Amino acid sequence: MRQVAIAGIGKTRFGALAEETILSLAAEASSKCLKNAGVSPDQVEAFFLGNFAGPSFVGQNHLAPYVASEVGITGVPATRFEAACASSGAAFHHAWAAVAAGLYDTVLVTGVEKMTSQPTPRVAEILAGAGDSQSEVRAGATFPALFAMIARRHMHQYGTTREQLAAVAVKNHANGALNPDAHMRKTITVEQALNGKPVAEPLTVYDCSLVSDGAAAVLLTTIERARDMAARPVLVRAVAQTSDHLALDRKADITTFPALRLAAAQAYRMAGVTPADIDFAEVHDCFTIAEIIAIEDLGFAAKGEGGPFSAAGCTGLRGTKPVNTSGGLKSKGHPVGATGVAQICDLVQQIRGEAGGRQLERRRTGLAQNLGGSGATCVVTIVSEA
Amino acid sequence: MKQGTVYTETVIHSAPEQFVHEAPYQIAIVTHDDGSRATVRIRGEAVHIGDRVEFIEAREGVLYYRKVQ
Repeated sequence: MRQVAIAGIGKTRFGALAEETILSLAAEASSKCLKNAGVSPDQVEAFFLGNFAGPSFVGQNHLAPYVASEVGITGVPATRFEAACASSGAAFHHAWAAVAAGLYDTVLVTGVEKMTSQPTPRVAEILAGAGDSQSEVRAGATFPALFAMIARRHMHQYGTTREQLAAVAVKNHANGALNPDAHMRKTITVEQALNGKPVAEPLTVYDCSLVSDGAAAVLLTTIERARDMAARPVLVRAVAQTSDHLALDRKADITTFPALRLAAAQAYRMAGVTPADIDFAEVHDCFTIAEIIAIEDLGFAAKGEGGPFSAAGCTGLRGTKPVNTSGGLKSKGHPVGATGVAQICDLVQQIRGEAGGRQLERRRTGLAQNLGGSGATCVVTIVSEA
Repeated sequence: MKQGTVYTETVIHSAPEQFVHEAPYQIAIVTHDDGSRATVRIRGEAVHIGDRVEFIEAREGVLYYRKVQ
């Protein structure tokens, strides 16, 4: 297999962007990415688009050629990937595999979601489409409800507290306040988080990620070609994508994500590293409990210790294992189809030293973890300085 | 009547469009005595992890359970 590098990145800002369309967002991120790499549209050999629910959110299907042609890419494969909130993580995985295998030399991967044109109950219903429609969704479950049930069980088995969940939200908002592209650039207190409006008990609005519009893009090519391009390349050392049952009630233990543990084990093996070698990470904090479980399943903290690890500040900007320096899905925002690729962009910004006020000193090797649904898809990526 | 134990639960305040008129409502994952699991709707008194619950009825594909008194 060939060594693959990220040769360019492009992001829109995240937020409730009433003036933007799914097309304008995806085209902006894609064009910025090509410009960042110094590559023209006719050099792109395939276009992979991550998008969860464009047809439901904005009534547009056949999205990949729709976006590709807008940025001047025609005559090549243009394909949409759907894997719930891991849609662009899945697109990234398949683009990496295609370049590594020698099928294409240069692939553009873009993720996009335009969510805020729908009212909240309709958004909840569309997102619930990533759950099992014959069981949990029929019973009235929303995604906050599924993660609330995970949180309840984690609290029951390990003594995780609401204060520890709140610590995750407070930390991610503090980081997001330093990110000019973030959806919600404001700090919050533990008291605010604890007293937020209930969404699905024990989760309040402060435990939930944001409903956002936004897009992100990365250009993948071989390490040799990337060295001749405009931006400093970042080496993709491992990408692993795994799957599991959709329904939560099909899992023996819901306090862990088996797909995440499997993807992490595969990625660590592929990269030849251990959790201790990871300098920083972007994890899928769709809900505060998801970040706590992610840092356990990735091996940053022992099982059941994710809450105390977070509350002790270990995952903060100055902690031993900085997590979600971008602000995470909680504060940066979560345009679901864009999230997987946006996480990769955040890793690249840190490694290049372009992270501004949230810049880390120790930033050689970063990990991204992107989760679909309540764990039915997981993608883990490890990147390093080239 | 089919019985089981509450494995986990939540009370939903922010409901999807089709259930907005029913909120707040409680759902739970129940572990039946034969080991099988189901995601169900709770009627009546709120339940907690470890509570015993029993099947009441199935309506439009939704399983309704209540706390065993």
